[in-house]
Amino acid sequence: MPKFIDRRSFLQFNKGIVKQITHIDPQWPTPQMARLHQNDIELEPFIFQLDSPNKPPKKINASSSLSKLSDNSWNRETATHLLNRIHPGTTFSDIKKYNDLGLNATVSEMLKIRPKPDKPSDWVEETIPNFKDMTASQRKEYQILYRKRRVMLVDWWMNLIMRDEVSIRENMTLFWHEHFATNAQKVYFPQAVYEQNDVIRENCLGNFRTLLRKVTFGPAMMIWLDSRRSKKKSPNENFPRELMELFTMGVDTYSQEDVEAASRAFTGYNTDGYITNYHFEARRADGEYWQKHHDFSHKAFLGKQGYFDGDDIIDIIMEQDAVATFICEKIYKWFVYEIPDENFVNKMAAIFRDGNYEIAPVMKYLLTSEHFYDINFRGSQIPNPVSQILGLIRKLNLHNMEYPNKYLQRSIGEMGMTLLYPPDVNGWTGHRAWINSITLPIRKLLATTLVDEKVGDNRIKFEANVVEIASGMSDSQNARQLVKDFALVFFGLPLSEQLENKLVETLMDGADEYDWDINADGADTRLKELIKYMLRLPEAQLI
Amino acid sequence: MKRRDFIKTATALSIAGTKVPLLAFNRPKHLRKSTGNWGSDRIVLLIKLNGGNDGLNTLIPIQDSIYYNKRPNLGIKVSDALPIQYDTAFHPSLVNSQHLFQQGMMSIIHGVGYDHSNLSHFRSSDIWVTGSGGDRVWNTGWLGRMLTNDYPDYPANIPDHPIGIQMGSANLLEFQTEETNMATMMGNSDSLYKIIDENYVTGSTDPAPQTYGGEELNYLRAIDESTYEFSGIINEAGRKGINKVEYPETRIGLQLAVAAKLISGGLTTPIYRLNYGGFDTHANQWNDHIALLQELDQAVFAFLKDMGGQGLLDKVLVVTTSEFGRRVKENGSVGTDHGTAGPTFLYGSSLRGDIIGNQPDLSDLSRAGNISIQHDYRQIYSTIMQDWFGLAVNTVTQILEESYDAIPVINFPLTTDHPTAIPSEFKLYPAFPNPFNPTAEIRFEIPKGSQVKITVYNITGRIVMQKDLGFKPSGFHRYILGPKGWASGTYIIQVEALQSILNQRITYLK
Repeated sequence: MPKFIDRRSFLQFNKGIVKQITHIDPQWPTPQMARLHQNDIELEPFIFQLDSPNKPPKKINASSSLSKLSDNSWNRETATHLLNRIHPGTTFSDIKKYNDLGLNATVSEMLKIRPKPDKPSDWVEETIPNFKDMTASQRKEYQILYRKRRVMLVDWWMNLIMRDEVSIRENMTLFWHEHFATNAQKVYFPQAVYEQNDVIRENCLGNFRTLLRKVTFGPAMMIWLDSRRSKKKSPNENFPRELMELFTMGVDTYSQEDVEAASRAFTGYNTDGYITNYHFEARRADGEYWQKHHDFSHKAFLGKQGYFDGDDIIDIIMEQDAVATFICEKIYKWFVYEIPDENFVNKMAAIFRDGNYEIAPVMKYLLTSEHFYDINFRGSQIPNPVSQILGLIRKLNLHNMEYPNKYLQRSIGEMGMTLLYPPDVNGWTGHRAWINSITLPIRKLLATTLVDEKVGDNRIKFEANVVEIASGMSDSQNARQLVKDFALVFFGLPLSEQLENKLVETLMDGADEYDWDINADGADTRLKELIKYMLRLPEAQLI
Repeated sequence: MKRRDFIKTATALSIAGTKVPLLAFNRPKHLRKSTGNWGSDRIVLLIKLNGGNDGLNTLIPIQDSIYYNKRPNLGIKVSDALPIQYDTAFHPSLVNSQHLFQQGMMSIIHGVGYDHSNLSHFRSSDIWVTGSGGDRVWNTGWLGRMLTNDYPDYPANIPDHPIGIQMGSANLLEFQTEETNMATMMGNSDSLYKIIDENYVTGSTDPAPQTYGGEELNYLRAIDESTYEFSGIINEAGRKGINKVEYPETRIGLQLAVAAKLISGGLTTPIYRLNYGGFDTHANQWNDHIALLQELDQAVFAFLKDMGGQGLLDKVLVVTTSEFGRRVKENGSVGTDHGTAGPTFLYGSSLRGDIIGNQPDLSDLSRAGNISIQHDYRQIYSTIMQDWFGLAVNTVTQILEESYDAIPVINFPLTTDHPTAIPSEFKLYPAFPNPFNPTAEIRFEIPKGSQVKITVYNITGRIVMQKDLGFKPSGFHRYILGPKGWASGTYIIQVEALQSILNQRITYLK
């Protein structure tokens, strides 16, 4: 009997990747819960890992100027470029507004510190119960509850991104989330997952050392990279290695001996999933567990000697020049282009160091620089699926709709990204890795479904009011101008003449472009056809 | 000299760099030179065990007390393991692999890795897929370079069938070339095909601007076009192809099932890259490893049976790779940390069925407590390119930038540059699959040239088939048994050569 693989099972190929990061420890939280959790892994958000086709480095021919963008270079195109890169979903009215505001005021506005968003629920502050005193079925209830809450957190963050006012905040939070790539499934406790996300958001434009310490000594990271299991008698190398390689300095900046020394320094820290034995202001841990399991002996690390604990290790790392360069390079790659301009990155790093590792000044320098707006970088970035789809929802003015539970999560998950669930310590590889012969068709399908719900599956009725959107543009009665304005919104690359003509043809469906009348019957259909066509082009994948 | 020792000597000499002029027997029938078109119809399925598979617990050195000393909790007892040689046993999960090894359907290569081992997943994986070695950073993959050799114009000229298919979580870097990427990521045939078809539009034919944005646009256009072109072909192969066995519904099982269906449906893609993650067993290795190896074992076995049942077995070769092995001493979390070398496993009916190399010397470890390298991982690539696909040695050297001797594991090497060893005696390998329908492979080897005759008797002693194979030179030979009009039941296969007769029982199940 031939066996057929249906789409669902195929896509479940990668579900098992969650096992890679689970490391269920029979001792925690209780052996019974560990077993139950192992069985329930199936119900977690789906994780599909992609990896990068590495691009060969080519000579950079973008302007290497380190100076500020001149005021008269600020126009609709530069405004669009800035907005696209820092906030998903730039509408035509956003472009108009910020073009009028000017470069300086726009950047200040984007970097403004905003009030903290409402927490998803009170349970983010719920203490961890004593599982050992529970019955098996009570424990199972908690498992199910925690899983539901973790998924709620994903939805909560997605809604924030979709509905937040135009600013860099959520993108910056996503950047650091990817940087610290902590997977919610292994972390397990929704309180810890929320805590890390909250800490990152609060500090995303603040001080890097503070951010690093808060994340390092938070419950989520302690669980994720096993620092809470690191004891004097068997120090765990996982966290210290990634601290140096992924969070601060990069590959080949440390030796195996350094890892071993740092491992011994990071022993004795513990958490129950919400509370830790570490005191942030006092810069130390304490308690019975700490006394028993911390290695108080002498260590040699990166050329320094002493009786180091975790904070000391971080301090020594922060003295290295490599840190500023490493972080600034990552910022560059996220916001500008995947191949960094060494000269420019060094300038960013100098600002970072001189500013005692404050993040905002670096961002201000970057976003007001001539280099950032170089024509080479227009349309040179493939946005991650979350930004792309949620951005498109905003562009189509659909962000205030009620979406069925987990609908967006699932749809976007199929393209390789679930917020709070990065596939492994390296985060999402991004760039060209987002596009392959599976994800590209799915991106197109999802995009066109948003415009016209008759495309794709009919679980939800999309009512994109395209006539209203078009009416807000420069000249809604001019077919060619409409095409140009839509191209500004949907494409990162400048519109070529040939493509412009083709789009006008698509809009007019054979009629003469001067016959266009936005108030006519059927204008709605024509506009949808135009937008669907545009979203199906490779050009629509670039910002 | 026993054949096994002979091969070990040959390997040792070739690693040292000198080529031992072995007598060139068994001239391959299909002398294939590398041309503009992929001539061979052979297929390799590469399975990457992501995370770093613990070789020591997979291929257990049951006679080594150091192993048990260093792994008081993780060490696997002799009584639990599955022995395949006096000093070697498989992990208890590898039940099918043990049978396959005994039937000569599996070869094992010890201690595969590279000098200046890197213990970072990220970096070591890159080193493996680019073929760069530990001291350099390359940006193209070995498969990308190999395929560019045959498809220099890709994607300007797209061949009929996808050149490389990748499934599951994967590092596409392996297929990356200077300009583009040779892999097609695999999705389910039917629904994806519809999605692709409906959403393809012919965009503008303007050349992309000469900016970074333009470069990205070119990349996108290439993926868009090739996805569209190949999806139709893959869809068709998926519809025509069949699976003749039930595959386990595990991650790796499903990947192999899909690959088998495509091969069965006539897709000529020569390279399948499959991915199977979860091997980074820093903690709780005991339970995790049991499940991982069992899934792999069952999936590969199902695949071989499926291919055997469709007469496609001689076309396929399965090879496992992993970015590194693991440390000898277990850590405090009943797991193991990153290590260096590990074994590579090959499955198929065209293998010698040996173990190449020795159990690692656990008394001679590196400072960090890691196993020494016995074979450079690029030798595996040489073996695949030269012996399996028949690329010329010069081409292979160009692709890897240096010469790495192939390891003599493949029994029908397509290249003449790399001669095979002479068997030391007349031997009849177990037929595979058994029970069988519709075909089975009878494999035998002879130390000298001889007339060979195959006779098949039914259980009552009546001859049901007789085939005179004529004169066969010394070496390994294969005959595909395809009965017509036989009843189900047990049969006896008799191979006559060099004035000797060897028998074997086989079961035909209608």
